[in-house]
Amino acid sequence: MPSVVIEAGIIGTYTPYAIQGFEALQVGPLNDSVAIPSTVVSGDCDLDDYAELGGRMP
Amino acid sequence: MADDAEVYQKTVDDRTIILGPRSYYMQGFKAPQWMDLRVGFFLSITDVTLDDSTTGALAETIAIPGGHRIMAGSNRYWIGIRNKGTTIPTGNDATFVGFTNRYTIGRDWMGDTVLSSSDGGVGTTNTNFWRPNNSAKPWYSFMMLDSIPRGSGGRSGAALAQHFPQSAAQVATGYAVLLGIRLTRDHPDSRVITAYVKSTDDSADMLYSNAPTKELIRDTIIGWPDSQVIGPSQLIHVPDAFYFYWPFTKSRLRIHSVGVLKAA
Repeated sequence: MPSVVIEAGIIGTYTPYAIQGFEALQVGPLNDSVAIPSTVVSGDCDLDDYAELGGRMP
Repeated sequence: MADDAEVYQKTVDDRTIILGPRSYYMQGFKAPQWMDLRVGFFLSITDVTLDDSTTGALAETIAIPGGHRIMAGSNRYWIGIRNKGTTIPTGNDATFVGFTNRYTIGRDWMGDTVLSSSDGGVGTTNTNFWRPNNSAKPWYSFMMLDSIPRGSGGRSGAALAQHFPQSAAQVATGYAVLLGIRLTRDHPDSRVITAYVKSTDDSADMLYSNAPTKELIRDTIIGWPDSQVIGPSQLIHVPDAFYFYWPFTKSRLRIHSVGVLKAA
């Protein structure tokens, strides 16, 4: 998994972050979960590996 | 049955999710023991059938039932963070912090849900942006909520309106708007949380970009801008998921990128 650490301008220490750009997303039908590989992750801050899409409220 | 979302290649570098009408997107995140948490998301809207059309008949009004009857949560918009869950975040099991046009006090019986054509307060054509809002008050725009309202933005100052670019000519800097929320708490186990939302001229927009990348989110939310402060409010749950829901039927929400940063 790619790992990047940046310095936080605010507090002057390492800033864990996770951030997502949807490069490899597949979308399924109603209420499917879709795999979204995290692309930039560091420290103990992370995105879940999937998103849930659904609803279709009347 | 149509899918609840699709993927659209807006640019070479921008592979965006387009939510189906009145569908949700929820993605959890982990940021344990945070005391300063920042999230950002690049969003835009498009036509209900065309994947890349921001002009035309997107304006819409979803009427309040009237007679002090409660507006369904699915007829409000929800853009922000919540505890993990996929329901509209109005129930007893949900904590939500973010942008919404729900009525800010007690039961939600006030104001239509409206998508207005807007100039963002900076132009005269009134065709620069699309602005979701509540017809009763423009500052019904941001809330901390867990089944009942715990805190709201805009009440004593500027509205925290969100503007989705409509005119590529008038908003040349970008087709996507960056919105963000900063949360702080005094210690890592506290549920007493304060929210900060960028506020300038009745707008919560952080910037517009034609390159709505995850890196630009990171670089922007590291240096948090001047903000309106909401709370502190004691919440039942600590938000740990992105949640986006767009109630309109003539437009769809596009999600270009999201990011979460634990600054402390």
